[in-house]
Amino acid sequence: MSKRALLHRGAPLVLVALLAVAILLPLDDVLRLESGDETVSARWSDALDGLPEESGILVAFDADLGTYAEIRPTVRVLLADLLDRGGQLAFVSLTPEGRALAVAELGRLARADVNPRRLADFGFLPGAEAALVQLTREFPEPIDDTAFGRGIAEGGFDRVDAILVVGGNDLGPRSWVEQVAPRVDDVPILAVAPTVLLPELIPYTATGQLEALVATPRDGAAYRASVDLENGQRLVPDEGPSVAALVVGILAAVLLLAQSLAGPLLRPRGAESAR
Amino acid sequence: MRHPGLAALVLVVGLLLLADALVVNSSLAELADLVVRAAILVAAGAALAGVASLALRRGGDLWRRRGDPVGAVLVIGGMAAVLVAGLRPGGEGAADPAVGWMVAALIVPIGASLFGLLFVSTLAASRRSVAARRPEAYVLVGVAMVTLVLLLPLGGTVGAWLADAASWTLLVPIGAVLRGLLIGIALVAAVVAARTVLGIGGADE
Amino acid sequence: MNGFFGTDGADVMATWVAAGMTLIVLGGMFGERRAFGWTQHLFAGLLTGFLALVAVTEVLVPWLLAPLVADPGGRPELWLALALVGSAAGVPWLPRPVTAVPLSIAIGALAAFALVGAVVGTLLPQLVVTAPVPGDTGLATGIGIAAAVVTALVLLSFLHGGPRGRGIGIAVSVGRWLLLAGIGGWLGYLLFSRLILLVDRIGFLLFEWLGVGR
Repeated sequence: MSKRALLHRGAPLVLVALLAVAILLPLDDVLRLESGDETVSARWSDALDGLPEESGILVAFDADLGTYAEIRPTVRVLLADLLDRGGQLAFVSLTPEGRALAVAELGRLARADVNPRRLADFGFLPGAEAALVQLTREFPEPIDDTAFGRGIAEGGFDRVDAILVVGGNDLGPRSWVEQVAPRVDDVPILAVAPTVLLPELIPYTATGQLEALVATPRDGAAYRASVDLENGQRLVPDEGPSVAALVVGILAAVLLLAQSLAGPLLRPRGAESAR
Repeated sequence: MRHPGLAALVLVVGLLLLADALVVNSSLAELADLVVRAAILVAAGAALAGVASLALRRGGDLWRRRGDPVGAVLVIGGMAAVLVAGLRPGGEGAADPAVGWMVAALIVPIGASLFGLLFVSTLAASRRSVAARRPEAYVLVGVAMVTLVLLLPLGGTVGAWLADAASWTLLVPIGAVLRGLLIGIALVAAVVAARTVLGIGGADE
Repeated sequence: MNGFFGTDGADVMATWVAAGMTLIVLGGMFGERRAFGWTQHLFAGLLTGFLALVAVTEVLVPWLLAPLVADPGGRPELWLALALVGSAAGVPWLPRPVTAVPLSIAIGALAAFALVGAVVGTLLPQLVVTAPVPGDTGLATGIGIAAAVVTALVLLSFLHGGPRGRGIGIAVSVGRWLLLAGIGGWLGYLLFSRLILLVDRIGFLLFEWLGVGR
C-alpha cells in the first residue's frame, strides 16, 4: 500500500481512536457546550410557561434518521418537560423516516410507563404540503382510541395549544410556517431541527413566526441546561454528546482545514504541476 | 411539449387551490378539500409506485443475473421483512414490535452511521475544494474554520467569550445573509410555482 | 444512551445487531466498501418497505379500503379515489393519458401550495422584518441597518445575466461574496453537527454495546 493510501485510510482511524479516548475522559464538567445566547432558553421557557394547564401539543415528528442523533437529547428533554408540565402530546408524521422515529419514541415512552391517555398517535400522512393543509382542515382518526386523540380529531386545531415541529432533512419547520401558520389562528410553532436546516430557519425567529427554535447543538445544550425536570427525568436517557470529544474533533477539523488553506498559499502555483 | 390535457388540469387544480387560499367560500372550500385529499392519496399511490418499481428492478437484476446479487437480495429481503412483519395476520402495522425491532436494530443505526461518516467526507471535500485553488473555496472554508473555532466548547472566560461571539455571528451577519438567501429562494419558488400553474415553460418535463 | 433498547433478550440482540451495522458502516471510512455497500442496500430495502407499510396501513386502509369493505355501495366517490390511487401507483407502467390525472393533481397542488407558502409565509414577513427599525441605541440601529444592507446585497446576488450598470454589477459581486461567507459560516455549523453524529455512534459502541462506563 502506498504512503498516500495508508495516510488516506489511517487518518480516519486515528481520528476515531482520539474521539473514543476523549469520550471516556471525565472533562465535561470543565468544558461548556451551552451557547452564549440566553434568549434561546428564555424564549422556550416563555413559550412553555404560556401554555394552559393540560395543554394539547401537536408533535410534528419528522426528524430524519441521519441527523436525529444531533437533536435527540433536546427532543427528549422537551417531551419530558412538556409531560412534566401536564401537557398532552399528539404525534403526527409526514415523512416515513419521521414516522419510523416517532414509532421508536412512542415505544420508548410506553416502556417508561407514560400515561397512554396523555398521548395520541395520528400516524403518517403522505403528500407533504398537501398533508399539512389537510391537517388544518381535518385531522385523521387517531390510531389509538384515547379521549385526547378523539378530541383533536373532532376539534382540529381548536384543541391544539402549540405545535412542536421536530424537523429533519425532508420536511422541517419552514413548511409548517408556510402552510399551517397562515391557515390557523394563534397556535404558536416551536421547533427543534438539525443544523442542516439552519439557513432556512434563523430568519423565522426574527419575525416571530417560530416562537422558539433550537437549531444548533449549543442552543440545544443551553435549553437542556435551563430545564429542571421532576418526574420527567426518567424519560431522558441521553446525556448529550461528550464535550471533550467535540473539542478534540473541532481541533482536528480546524488543523486540517488550516493546513489545507495554508498549503497552496505557501506553495508556489507551479509546484503541483511540476510534481 | 407538455400534454395539453395535463396543462389544463394543472391550471384548474392550481387556480382552485389558490382561489381557496384567498377567498372564503364554502363551495370552493369543499372542492378544494376534495383536491387536497386526492393529492394525499396520489402521494400514497406514488409511494407504492416507487417501492414496486425498486422491487421489480432489483428482482429483474436477480433474474437476469445482473449487477450485485447480494445487494438485490438485501433490498428485496429488507422490503419483504418489514412488510411481512407489519401486514401479517395479527400484525400491528408500523407499531408492531417486530417492525420496531427492525427500526431500532437496523434502520436507525445504519442511517445514523451513514451521516456520522459525513464529518470525515465533508472535511475531505473541503480540503479538495481548497486544493483546486478557487477563491470561492478559500472564503467558504476560511469562514467555516473561523466558525469552528468560535464553536469550541471551552469553559471559563475564553469559552464564554467564544460562545457569545458564536451566537452574535449567527444571529447578525450570518443571519442577515441567510435572510437574503431565504427571500431569494422564496422569490424563485414563487415564480416557478406561478409559471407551473399557468403552464408557462416546461416545469413538468 | 440512545434509549431505543430495553433489557430483554430481543433488545440485547438488537444492540448487537445495531453495533454490527455501525461497525460495518464506519468501516467504509477505512476502505471496506463491499460490506458497506450491502448495508446501504439493506437500508434501502427496509426503508422502502416501511414506506409501503405506512402508506398501506395508515392511509389507504383507513381512508379507502376499510370504508369500501364496510359499505361497498355507500360512497361511490371512494371507488373513484381508489382508481386515482391505482393510476398513481401505476405511473411507471400505465399510458400517459391514464396517469395525467394523478400527475396534474400532484403538480397543480404542489405549485399552488408552494406559491401561497412562499408569498404569505416567507416573502412578506421577511421583507417586513428586513427593514431596520430604530433600536435602543445608535449601535443597535447601525447594526440593524448593516444587516439590512447585507440582506439586500445577498438578494442582488440572485441576479443573473441581463444588462446592468457598473454600480449594480459591483453590488451583485459583493452580494455573491457575502453569500459565500454566510454559507461558509453554515458549513462550520454543519461540520460541528456531523461531528456530533460521529461522536454519538462511537458513544453507542462504547456505552451500549461494550458497556464501558462514562
